[in-house]
Amino acid sequence: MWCKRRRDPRIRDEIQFHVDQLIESYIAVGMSRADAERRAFLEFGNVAATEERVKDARGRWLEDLGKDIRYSLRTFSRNRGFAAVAVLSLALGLGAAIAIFSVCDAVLLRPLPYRDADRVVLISQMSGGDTSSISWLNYLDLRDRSQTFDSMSCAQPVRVGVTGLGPARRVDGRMVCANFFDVLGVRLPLGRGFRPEDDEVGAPPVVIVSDRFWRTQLQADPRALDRSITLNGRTFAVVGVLPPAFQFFRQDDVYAPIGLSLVPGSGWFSRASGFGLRAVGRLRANTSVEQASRDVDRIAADLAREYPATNAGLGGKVERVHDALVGDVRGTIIALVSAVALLLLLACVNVANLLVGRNASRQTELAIRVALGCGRLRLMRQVLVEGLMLAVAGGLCGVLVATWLLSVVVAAAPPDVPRIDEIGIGRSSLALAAIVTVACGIILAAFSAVQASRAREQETLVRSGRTAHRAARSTRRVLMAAEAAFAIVLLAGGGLMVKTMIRLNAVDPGFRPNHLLTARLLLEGEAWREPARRMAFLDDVTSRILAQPGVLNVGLTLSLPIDGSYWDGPVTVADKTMPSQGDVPTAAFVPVSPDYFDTAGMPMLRGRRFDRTDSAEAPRTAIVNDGLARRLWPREDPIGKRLRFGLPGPEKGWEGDWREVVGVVGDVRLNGITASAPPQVYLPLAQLPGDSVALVVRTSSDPAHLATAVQDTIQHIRPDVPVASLRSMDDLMRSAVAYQRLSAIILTVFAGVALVLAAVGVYGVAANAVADRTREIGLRMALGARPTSVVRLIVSEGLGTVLIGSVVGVVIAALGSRAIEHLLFEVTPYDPATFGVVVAILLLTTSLACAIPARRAVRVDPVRALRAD
Amino acid sequence: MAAETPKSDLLQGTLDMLILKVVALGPIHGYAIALRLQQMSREVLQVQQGSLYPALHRLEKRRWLRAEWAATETGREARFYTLTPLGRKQLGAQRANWDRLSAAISGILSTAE
Repeated sequence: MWCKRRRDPRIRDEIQFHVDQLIESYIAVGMSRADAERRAFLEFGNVAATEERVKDARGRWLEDLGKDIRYSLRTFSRNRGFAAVAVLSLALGLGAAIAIFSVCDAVLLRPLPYRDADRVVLISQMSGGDTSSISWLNYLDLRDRSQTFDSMSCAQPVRVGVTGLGPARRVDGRMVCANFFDVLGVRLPLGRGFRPEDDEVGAPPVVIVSDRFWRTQLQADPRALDRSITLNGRTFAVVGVLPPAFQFFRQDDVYAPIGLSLVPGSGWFSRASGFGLRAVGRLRANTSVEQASRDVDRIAADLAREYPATNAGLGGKVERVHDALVGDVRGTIIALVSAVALLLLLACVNVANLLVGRNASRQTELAIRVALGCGRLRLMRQVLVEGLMLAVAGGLCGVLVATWLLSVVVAAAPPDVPRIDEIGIGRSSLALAAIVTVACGIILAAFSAVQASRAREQETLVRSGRTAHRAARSTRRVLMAAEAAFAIVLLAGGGLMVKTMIRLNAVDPGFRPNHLLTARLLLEGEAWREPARRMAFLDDVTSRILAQPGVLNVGLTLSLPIDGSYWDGPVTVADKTMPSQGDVPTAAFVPVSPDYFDTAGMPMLRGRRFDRTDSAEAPRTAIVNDGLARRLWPREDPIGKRLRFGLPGPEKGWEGDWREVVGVVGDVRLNGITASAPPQVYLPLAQLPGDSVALVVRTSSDPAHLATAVQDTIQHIRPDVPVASLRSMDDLMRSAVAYQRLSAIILTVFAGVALVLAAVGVYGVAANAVADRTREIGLRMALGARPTSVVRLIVSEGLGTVLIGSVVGVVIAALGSRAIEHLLFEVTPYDPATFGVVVAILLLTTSLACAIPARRAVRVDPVRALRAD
Repeated sequence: MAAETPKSDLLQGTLDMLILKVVALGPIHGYAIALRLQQMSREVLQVQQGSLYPALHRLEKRRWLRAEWAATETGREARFYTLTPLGRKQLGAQRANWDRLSAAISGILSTAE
């Protein structure tokens, strides 16, 4: 220690000087040197003790700390197994805690990159409990009539095709009102935000790009503001680049003024249509979300009165953007946080258990130290250092575990988890890690300290071993029961998720998803205005892909199953009484090619498929799905009936042509795997070719093998058509349940770790119990007990403790599994089968863990066992 | 060693104050402090040698004393202590306390029975 050397007080020298002076003084009065020395030492007292007291007076905590650390290390190296298991348990628990906290921090806790982010709210339209988009006219009224907002803006999500910058690609974008970035409070590092002039009809098209787009597509060109990019065939001048961390619900790459969408005569000017528009607002100072909510409700009620045909039954919803963003995820994250807290507790209890057992064996050593004059404080300090060292080692390894765990989570997570790219081990995670580690260390040390202080009350050194063990045993039993309870809760969580995944995989989606390749083509822009042009291109693509080896069939559709419907709306049925406002049936409208049903593997139940006769000029036809047919024509044959898209009665928005039903097809799950099949109306694609079309290709082998071939075929015909979302149907279905899958993976891993920790804990307790009772076992064996009965004795004791803990655990799990209810599918939170299996697994593991040391014990020679202490 | 006059026990606080007073008179080493205390108290007070050095080092730790190794007249090296300004202030405060305390005790004891 450098400071010690620098200001070395040379205590020994100082005392020696004093003693020498005493000796001189006695010699001076005539004593002999020998007598003088004796007298001097007598008078001065114990030199060594004085030296120690001086050192204490000076305070030598650093030197003591070093001694404590070295002593702890020696102890650990003597009991390597204990130390390894303890550190590993803590590492697993702490690692999981750090990982989950990092996720929480990034997703839930960090503030959004807007100025005064909690003043920014999202305003959605509500119809019957579901959020829907606001129509442009409704938005204008909302903006003009609101009294609680400083400013309001709007945004519409779009997908656009980018050409001219390498291969044609599709990016996510948003059409926004000119004041959008001002409302959010975002400053652009390069260029400017939108100005009101940009939003006017006829203004030159301008675009603001994201930081990511600027870096990847424009190569971070500092002169990007001089450039233009081509979106959907139109040229846009780049006027601004957003800051790197900016996002609004998702990572959009391009932002354009919404004025470009407001084409006169389009559906935008109908009050009934939505197009995905949402409103955002900045609350006035000292205005709460509730006040804004009431304001919006008032406006909605006024509009419902003024425009009953379109606005009846519509309400509003105001929520902070932050809440809207994490709303879906919050439940999952809370469940994960609870699970990880349990795991950490389990790890700590495990280590505490181990410590209790080990300290019981150290009673002799501790008693000797106490007898030699070690103060109580000193003993406590040493125990604290031990606990902290274990915790710190566990914490450091835990950071490694957390890093690995996070990389797994980020890789397996669905892409729409908010702010997922911000997840990492940051400062706050490390700070939390440090705090939790120290807390664990202190708790564990407290445990040890309680044991150590009992050492001082021991009377005899000889018998201290046995009595200490007996006292420790009940502590360990209680800890064991607690471990069992925690383990059951985690096992139950994992079990419920596993069952959910099994059920999800067993769902019949209504079509045949294997060997199906999908892709989405975007046909937007000037070049694709003519429907005939689109159909010609699509026919060309279809025939060329069909010609490829390995391709069995090709179909086209607007909406892919599971992926979600791109077009929903009200259905009006001919020859039926007009239903009241709230009862208008809605359906998903899906234009498809004639071969679509065959390609997808959907069964025709009645009537015919679409074919060449359903061309653009032919009479309008439709095919409905079974669900819609039963709903609209319960006991009649739907063939020959007529329906159309749109609201019944006078007014409102765009209506489709009247169509005659020519067939009935089976139900498919359109909106994810868990939602049941909605009513669907299929139309011939030739009669309504939209600007976004999905391709399905049935392949004879693995669809991934044909992906490049399909993409090349399409780009060969028209290189400026972006081919997006090229993936197999299986991949699409997997990503549809990505949340559940991720949660299942995490909870199952936790359950597995919990089981291992519990097993180790049980093993430790049983081994200890067996060691205690070596004499007793020897006695039993000597008196003729059979080995199996002795093993049974040990095992049944262990099972008893674990069973009590399991019962408590089942109760806690039943109460707490509501937290993951939203993740479960066709499984109740109290599913008795799962709970039963989980308890059985734990009991089986316990039996094994108890049996191993028990069997080892009965093999010991009874005579040796009897002699043992 | 002992004369017949009874020795009094010294409380730790009082010992600190006396040491500070002795050191205030000039740089001095531990042995000399012990002698001085005995001398100045006319043999009434004899410090237990075992408590002197812990006290000195404690006072040094609190920065009321400063210590240096220097040569004595005989040429041997000894550790000399001097009073710091902080120590001087402490001495004054403790002295005032002591005066107040002893006045109070005297007050009680001198009350006529």
